[in-house]
Amino acid sequence: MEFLKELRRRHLGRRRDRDPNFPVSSWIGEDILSKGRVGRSITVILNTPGCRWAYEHGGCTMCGYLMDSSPGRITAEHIINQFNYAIEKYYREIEENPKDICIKIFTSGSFLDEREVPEEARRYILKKMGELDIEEVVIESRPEYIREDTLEEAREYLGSVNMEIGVGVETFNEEIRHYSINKGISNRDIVDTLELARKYSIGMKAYLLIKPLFITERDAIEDSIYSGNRCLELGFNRISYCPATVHRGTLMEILWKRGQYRPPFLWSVLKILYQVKRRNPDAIVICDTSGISSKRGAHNLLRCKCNEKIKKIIKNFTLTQDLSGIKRALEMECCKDQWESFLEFEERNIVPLGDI
Amino acid sequence: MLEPVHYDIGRMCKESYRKEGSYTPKIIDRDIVKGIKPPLLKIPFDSPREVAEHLLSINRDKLQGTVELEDCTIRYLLVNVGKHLDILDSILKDNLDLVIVGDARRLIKRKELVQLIQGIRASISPNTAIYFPTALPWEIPLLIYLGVDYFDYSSAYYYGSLGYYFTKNRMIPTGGDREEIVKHNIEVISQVLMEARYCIREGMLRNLVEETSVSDPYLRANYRRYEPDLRNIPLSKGKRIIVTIDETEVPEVKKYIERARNYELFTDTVVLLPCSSRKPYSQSKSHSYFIKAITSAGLPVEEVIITSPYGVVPRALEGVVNYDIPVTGRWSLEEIEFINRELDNLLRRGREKFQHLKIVAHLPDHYLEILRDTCERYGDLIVTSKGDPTSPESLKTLKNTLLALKEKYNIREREVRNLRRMEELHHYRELSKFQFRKNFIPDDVIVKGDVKKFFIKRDNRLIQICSINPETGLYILTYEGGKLLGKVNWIEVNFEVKKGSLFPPGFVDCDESISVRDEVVVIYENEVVGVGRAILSGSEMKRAEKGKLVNIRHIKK
Repeated sequence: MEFLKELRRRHLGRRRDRDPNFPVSSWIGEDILSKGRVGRSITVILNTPGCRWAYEHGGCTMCGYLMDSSPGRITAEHIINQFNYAIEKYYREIEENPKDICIKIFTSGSFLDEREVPEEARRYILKKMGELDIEEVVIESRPEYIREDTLEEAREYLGSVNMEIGVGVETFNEEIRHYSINKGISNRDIVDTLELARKYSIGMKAYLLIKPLFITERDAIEDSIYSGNRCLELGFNRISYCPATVHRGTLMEILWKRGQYRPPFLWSVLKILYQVKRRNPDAIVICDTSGISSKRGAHNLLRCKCNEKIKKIIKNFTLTQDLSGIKRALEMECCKDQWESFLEFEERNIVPLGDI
Repeated sequence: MLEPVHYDIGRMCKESYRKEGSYTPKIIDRDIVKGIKPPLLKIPFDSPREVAEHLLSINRDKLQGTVELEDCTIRYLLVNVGKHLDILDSILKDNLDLVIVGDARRLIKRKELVQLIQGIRASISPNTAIYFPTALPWEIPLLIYLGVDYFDYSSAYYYGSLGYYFTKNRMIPTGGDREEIVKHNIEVISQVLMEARYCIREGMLRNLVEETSVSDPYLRANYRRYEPDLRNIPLSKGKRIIVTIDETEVPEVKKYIERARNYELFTDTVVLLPCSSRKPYSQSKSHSYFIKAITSAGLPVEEVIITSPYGVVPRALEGVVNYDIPVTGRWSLEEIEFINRELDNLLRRGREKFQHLKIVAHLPDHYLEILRDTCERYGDLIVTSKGDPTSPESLKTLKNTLLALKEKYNIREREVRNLRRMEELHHYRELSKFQFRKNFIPDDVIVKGDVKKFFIKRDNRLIQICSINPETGLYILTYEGGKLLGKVNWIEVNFEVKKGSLFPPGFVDCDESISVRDEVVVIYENEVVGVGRAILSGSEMKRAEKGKLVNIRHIKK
């Protein structure tokens, strides 16, 4: 859509220059590994030119990650330096117990897109991780870059190290994915990619967006439950819910600022996690908690004391996969009545409401 | 699904979609709400145009649907086009029972509200209802005024759950029992609806809208923006209207001015008089004094009453104005400007006819102060009142002044009778021009009775052509009167009508300028066949699918 492209162009001018030899950020923390065991993950956000879909088509309506990408030229050598910086930073932790370590290499787009991560850098990184003989590697990519040749190569370099690719499925409703998110990916693309990954014993993780634009809170809940169940049924190894957070420079931000979009209630998030996990007790269901409780992130009534409490509960659930905390949370009173009447009221208004 | 019965800009209808139909504006049936299936993707109000059109490209067919009820099917259309109202026309359809306004919460605070509701109302049939969900008590009267028929209790539930206690004009945060608050809020909404229905019937909906919108800048702004279709109020309500704010802006006055501006003076001697609180003015004590003084002088004059909010009211039209207004003896700037403008118009037209005017100001001082300049522009200003115009001294001055003028003009006593008769006839003709934009009163009309009845003589028999309704001050036609009037306020029909109601199947075409409660002339095969009273405006009659259009009162024998 021209509007989205123009919006992107306007915002790209505000990007900051960064030293291309350092990643955007890197950190280590307790995390759930793809097989369900708790270990430690090192997350490295590489500084790359950014998502090609965002450049060429304006990108997704909720995503502002392109703003983290670099306006200057990024060479293979720069990316190798960024990766090495992070590996050196956490070398002690890796050496201590490599089979307890998961390395997540994220970009602001697709790790497998050669325009973001040149072939030379990609090979270097994959090879290095194979040599470190850690437990697993997680990368992210749009399906169009997940091809036979790249997967074969990755398998070869990584050896016995597990690999998981996170794909932004967002929803299994094509109308929402196309019109609300502008994702440019069909269900067919996703199913084909799953099959291909299976062939190379590479795991797949589905990112699911809770509450895209243009749908009511009640429809968002239904959509996320349906999409989660569907992804697990189709063979995704795990699903990761991302309650929408309002990024800068997005259509979502424009509507949010005018009171015509509201990030999801935490009650909705709890309900989704509860329903999907209960139906798929053996599957790993995780949920990103980064924006939670801020006004740009998922929240119940702003300033309600339950926001922080629920954030902890969700964090804990992601690690332990134990539903009892969520079940208890859903039995709390607090502002749940108001959430329920909001759902009703919004339905009568037909069009989604902002924070009121 | 609705049949309009009363209009007061806003309207009251009888529900015809079910057996035990009651009167709107009211709460919509739960069964209908449950049956509404909106499309999945909605268009937020401030969506950029491209986004809105993109979404509409898949929504277009999903905006309409049907709700199956026990004994009927309701065809609805959901309006959701964001702020891009030019798209509206492309989604509006014929044969709708119900139009549901999407994103009511957003719209209520935006200027597009007026344009949207007005746009919908102007293109759908009067039998189609408009449902505006989520309204708060103080928003309801304005919405009704704009043409909305149905509401719901959803705001009572939602704000009740947040602890807000409704009153007619605001909500108060409380810590009380939520269930009790919700119950109370529901009661407030239903009271407001009951009050609105009462006000429509009594012709005072505008007052209710003023009361409930005056403390809310958004509502007030939209009230001011709205230019109602004046055809949806009667030319004269037959009830006293109350004007306490916006004196020069109220639709009843605009409608009067539109017609009264064409008033033509009978003589070049104009007596300006103050208004009285009793209406018609001539029934008041003060005016009985004025009239006595004027009549005893014997000079036919043009009596013109100076007033707010109507500006100037010639004696001939006094029966059509009936109002109450706070009187403080101080005029507002708007009133001063307005009265002078209307007086200027009357006097300018008078001077065009008579070259020179004598303007006798029999007014209290605070009237004279504001009008002096305008009067002096058009002729000789003679002030006959000192302080109180009803004082014996003032009345005597008035009489003597007129006597002096009569002498100066050399009018003889035996001419006076004839002049009086001509003046009276002039008044009737001006009233006819006011009501029908055309005179139909013949020279040889015979007028009888306290409640005035008008006759013509034919073959030595008196035939009634009309009477004046003492409540509205307007003519009520007989078939013979309709024949004299001809093709004015006309309704063409496709059959030889009988007394009673005219329904759409018998209707062919009509004069678009017909207002509700207008006297109309029924025409069949180019011949006047009856007269009656319009229930809908001409423009709505043309779009009506069912219900009564006209009450036919009198037909060709």
